[in-house]
Amino acid sequence: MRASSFRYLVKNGVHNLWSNRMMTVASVGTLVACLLIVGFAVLFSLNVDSIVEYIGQQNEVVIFMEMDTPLEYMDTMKAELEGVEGLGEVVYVSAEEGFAEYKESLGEDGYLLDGMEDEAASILPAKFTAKIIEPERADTIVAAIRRMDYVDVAEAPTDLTKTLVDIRSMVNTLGGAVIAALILVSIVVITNTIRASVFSRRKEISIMKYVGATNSFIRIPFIVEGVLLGLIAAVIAFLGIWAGYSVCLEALSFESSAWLASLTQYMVPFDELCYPILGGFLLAGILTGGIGSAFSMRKHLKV
Amino acid sequence: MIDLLNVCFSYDNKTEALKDVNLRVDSGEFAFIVGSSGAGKSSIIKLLLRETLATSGTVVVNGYNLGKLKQRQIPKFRRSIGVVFQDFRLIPNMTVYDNVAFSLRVTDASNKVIRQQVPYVLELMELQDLARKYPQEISGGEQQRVALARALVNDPPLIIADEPTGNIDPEFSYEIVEMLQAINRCGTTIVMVTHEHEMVKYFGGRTINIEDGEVVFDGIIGGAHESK
Repeated sequence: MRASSFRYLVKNGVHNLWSNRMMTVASVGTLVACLLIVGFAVLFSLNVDSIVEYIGQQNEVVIFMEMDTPLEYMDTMKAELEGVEGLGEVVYVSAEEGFAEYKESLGEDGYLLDGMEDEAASILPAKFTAKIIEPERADTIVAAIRRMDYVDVAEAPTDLTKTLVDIRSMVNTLGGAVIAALILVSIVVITNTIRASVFSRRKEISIMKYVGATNSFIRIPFIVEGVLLGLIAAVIAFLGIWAGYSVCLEALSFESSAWLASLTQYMVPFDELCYPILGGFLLAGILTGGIGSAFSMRKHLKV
Repeated sequence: MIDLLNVCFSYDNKTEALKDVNLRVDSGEFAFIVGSSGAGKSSIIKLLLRETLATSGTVVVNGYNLGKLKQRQIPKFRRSIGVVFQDFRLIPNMTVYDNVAFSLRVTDASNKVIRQQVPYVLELMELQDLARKYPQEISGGEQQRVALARALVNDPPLIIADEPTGNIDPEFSYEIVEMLQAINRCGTTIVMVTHEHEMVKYFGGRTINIEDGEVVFDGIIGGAHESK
């Protein structure tokens, strides 16, 4: 094919966008709606995951040592805890520090413990605190710690952790299923819209066949048109999701509930997501537009 | 040019549209194929354009044995024919110029050739003033002239006209046939399918009459306008 013929076909595809503007608007509108729905579903899922993950990481395991634990063993114990997979930073709190913490927690009544500082080591045990960074392994981690030497008590809110892990896994599974269903519905809707657009021009396709146009000669303008539709839809959907997400974040951060407002700092910032979203939208738009057009016209090429 | 040998054609519902048709149209001829509605005229057109295949028999057009033609060879074959339809079949979102140029575009013609050929044919058909108009902006007669220009622009050896006067006013109908005759005088073979017996009687010439899927008459009749 001559370069001039190829240029003509590409130009023709661009021209068709305008000359079939009603179908262009319908196709772009459908594609934008589908991309927005899928995009927001993905964002929702990612954010729930991120927030639940953060809350899960706030779990701490507290390990009280036996009263007769030798002081020199504490370093060994700390090293052992730091070696446990799934645990974050390990903090050692000596009996004296623990006593001071406790006294402080009593507030105004703290004076009741005045003069007992020297006996702290015989009243309170030393303890370690550590963040559980893999909440789904909380049970195993706590059990492993309990088996260590000189450990008297090791406690972690494993029920809460388990609930959070369940929520996160449910969001992931449900979110994945919902997104998969939305993608499937979108493909059906988009394909039907493009098919309707091609169907409305079946006569035009048959005329081209009668004057001796090859299938590729007829397809190229339709594919160019489909790809452009996809590109336009992807850009509109990206701008829409950007604006929508920013509005949501802003609205939540000004929310009267301090808890809700505080959640926004653990939501995934749009900057981190903009390139994958734009890339995903462009890819989805171009593929559905281009391939959708190419496939939708197969039937009409049999003249 | 056209050879139909023992051609039978049935539709999917087993309706026998053509029964053992034998027909030959030589290069440079002008032939009318006449017949009433349902006689089998459309079936012949479908076979000649390789829109469908004969149930049995051989169809040869412009040297192409259509029964043996591969799918990918069909576009090349169709470029060797100019086709004019009753309903014009112009591409609605293309101007008159672009509709005519499209026939050349599909042959991968250069822009230079297109710029030379299209204005020439438009002028021949007296359509030069309508070049920038869209099909829906011009009359039926003018649309048929555009379709004729499109059929002609590739300089095909054969033009098949399927009821070309069926959708236009009677005064323009005769004009269209006269144009086809003028093209024929330049050496192009013309096959015109019509149900308008009066028009055929007026122009005369090779006439093939089809009734109930069979050729019932194939001969030359004298034209009324020649005797005037």
